[in-house]
Amino acid sequence: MCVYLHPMNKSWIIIVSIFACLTISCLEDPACEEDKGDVVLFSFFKKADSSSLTLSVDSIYIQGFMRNAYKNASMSSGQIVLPPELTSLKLIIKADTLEGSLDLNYQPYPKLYSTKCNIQLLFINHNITSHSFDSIATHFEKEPYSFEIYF
Amino acid sequence: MKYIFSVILFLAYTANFAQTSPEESDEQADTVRVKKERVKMELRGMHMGFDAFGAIKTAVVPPLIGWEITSDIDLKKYMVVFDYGNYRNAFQDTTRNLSTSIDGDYFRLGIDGNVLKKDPDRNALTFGIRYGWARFEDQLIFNHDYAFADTVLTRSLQFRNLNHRAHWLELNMGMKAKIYKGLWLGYQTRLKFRLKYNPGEWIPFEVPGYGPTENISTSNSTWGFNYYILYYIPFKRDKP
Repeated sequence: MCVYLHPMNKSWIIIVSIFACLTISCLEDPACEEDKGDVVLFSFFKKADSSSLTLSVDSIYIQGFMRNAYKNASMSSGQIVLPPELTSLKLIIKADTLEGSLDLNYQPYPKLYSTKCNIQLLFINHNITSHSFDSIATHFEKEPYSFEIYF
Repeated sequence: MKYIFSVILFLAYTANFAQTSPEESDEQADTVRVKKERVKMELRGMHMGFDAFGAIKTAVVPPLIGWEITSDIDLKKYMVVFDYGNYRNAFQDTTRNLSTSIDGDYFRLGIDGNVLKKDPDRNALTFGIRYGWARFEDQLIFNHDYAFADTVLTRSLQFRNLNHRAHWLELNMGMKAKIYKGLWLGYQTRLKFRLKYNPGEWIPFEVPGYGPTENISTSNSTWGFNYYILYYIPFKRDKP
């Protein structure tokens, strides 16, 4: 059976087909993004004059994760790796004659940009509560996430 | 680049419709100006059909299963459009211990303006806007390695969004062309933007009806395409 198509209809078919092909060709694969890291930076400061403070740290122990982040180190700053299988850590800091603890809460938040890319593991909703230190200033608005401990 | 390419195509096409030759312009100068006839809205018929592009992808790219049905009410100047679809997909990469899956429904509701109001075959070139809404579940399982105090640790992590909801807006351009009797072909190109979803446990890799979310951190928009096979049900005949 031969179906007769009006010349007008034939041109419509061609136009529809061309636009279909061109549009499909515009659908590109995305570029992979770098993993932004899974650490929170910290640093020690003197409350009196807000100057940097170097401490002889006996240990920074992460309760709940049952590991030392640092042991027997002289330091004014460092970083805490956030375990993605947890949503909170309790840091117990023993330094010189000082001892204090703080609770760090966060939420692992993965992003898969494309199946060709590795998963980017973001950490969001950071907050800290402390019952031991003089004060803590947090910078969790943008990366790199960090907080300052004042003694 | 793809935006520039699409804009050029779009302009070239619409310019083609708007062009008039010098001879035509001279003719217009000699003729009597006739009052422009206002095209009234009238219920002419409706299109019903399905997305052939989704059906082909379902056949060719397993385990993807995606179907979409579409319908519109032809009001001559405008078309009220409703689309409904289902999307299921999964991905597994054993070398990376990565697997992801998604299952959900979506609909779009919107209105198109028809440029070819007086086409004798009722062919349509349309520009319109849509509101899209999706409800879905998705899951992501993967192994994550990280270094902690000189020790490399590997953890198997699982994140799941249950009863996840998303909505977005679209600007659409499309065509519908009569092929034979009630059989029509048509397509829609979609610029999808302003995707919003509740936070959930992980950033959705895909949203049914919207597509991949990979551009959300940069442009917050993406392109979509549907190729429809349609059946037209006329409610009334055009006056000769």
